[in-house]
Amino acid sequence: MDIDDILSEFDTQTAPSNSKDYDELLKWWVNERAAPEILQYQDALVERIMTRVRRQVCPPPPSLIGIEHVEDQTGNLDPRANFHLIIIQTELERAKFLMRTYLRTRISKIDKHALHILSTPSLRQSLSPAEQTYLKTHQALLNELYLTSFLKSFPENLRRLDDATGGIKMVEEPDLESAVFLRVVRDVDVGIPWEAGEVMSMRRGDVYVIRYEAVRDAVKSGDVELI
Amino acid sequence: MALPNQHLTPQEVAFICESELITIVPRQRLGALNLISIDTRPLVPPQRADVPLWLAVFLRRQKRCNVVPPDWLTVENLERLVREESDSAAFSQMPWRWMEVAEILLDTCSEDLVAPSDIALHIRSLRELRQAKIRAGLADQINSSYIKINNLGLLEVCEIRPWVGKVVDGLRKIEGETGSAASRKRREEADEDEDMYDDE
Repeated sequence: MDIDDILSEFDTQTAPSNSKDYDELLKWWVNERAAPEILQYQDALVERIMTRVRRQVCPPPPSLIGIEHVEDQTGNLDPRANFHLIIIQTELERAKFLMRTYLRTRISKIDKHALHILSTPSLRQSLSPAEQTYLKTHQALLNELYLTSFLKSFPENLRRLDDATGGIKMVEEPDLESAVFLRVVRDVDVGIPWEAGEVMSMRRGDVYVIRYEAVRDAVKSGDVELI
Repeated sequence: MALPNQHLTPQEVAFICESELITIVPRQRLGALNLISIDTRPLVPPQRADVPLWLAVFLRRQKRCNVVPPDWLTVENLERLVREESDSAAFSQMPWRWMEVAEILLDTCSEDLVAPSDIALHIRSLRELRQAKIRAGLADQINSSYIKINNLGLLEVCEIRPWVGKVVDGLRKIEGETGSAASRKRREEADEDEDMYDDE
């Protein structure tokens, strides 16, 4: 048992649950950044954190929303309350940044693999309702634009955007075989498809570079975290 | 905000690191705070308390607390680690975010550390020793299947990721192509055989 083990055990014992929520979102953001495909939307987690964000902003003196307003207020309040407010504001900005960057990472993937996600029901399931709406309307707008600007002057049989004739697919798919970096959270056995199903046991704390397809399930179950 | 399709930037790594807990000795009272990421307990000097690193840095900048450096961030320990690192071929065990934590602490509260300049020096030599090892060691290890890189810190991993990822992907593609090239060759040979029969 090394110092990290002791520390993380200590963390899990004493850290309050909302700290876990924040760390969870941090983990899923990094996972999302590293994984080649789009992962399951962390619905409950996002909702829990947003509830807390809302609680920080509400009861809403509208002045709490921007940092400059806080500075406006500094004259009126006693210094101690003021100081609390600055800490709360700083933290709020951090949480908002994390939430934004998580959602933006997902949106960039949705844009990149739009047609692939649309045509794969299991991937569509992993989007949030808002993301599904975005995907559909954005794609409809794009199609409309392509059609009016150049597709309509093409011959009928060349207008499709998801053509697969000629051996080359037009739909861009995520490369599930690309290399990812990961850290093992819980001991897990991973089958390696390209080594004839050889099983590799990953120990907690190990860091690996490996093809994504081998650890796909382990990432989803949270046994490993991507970095 | 960095483009979301890039790898983690050093700033983002620092952002992640800033939510780690660190021990401080407050210099003045501060009531309990219900934050989004954590509910802090009231700070009462001189009782030690664990707070996220960003809050510690914030309080330290305003001279409202002193940071208790983590156990491993001492001159003796770092000297031992530097020795270990140069003696053995393996990487010595470091905390997952050693470089980031050391960097942030040296930057914001060097007065709370004992002999900060020595610590900075040792951190630097550790980093250089390890970087040299990474460069030398990965060349032998690299393949398209998997590489185990234990005991590297998060920032170190992020540093090598751009090229290691590309090399591994590239190797995979080359191997895939040689695989298909081999099958193409077989097919061509079969065709030639057929041609020979046609000639007859």
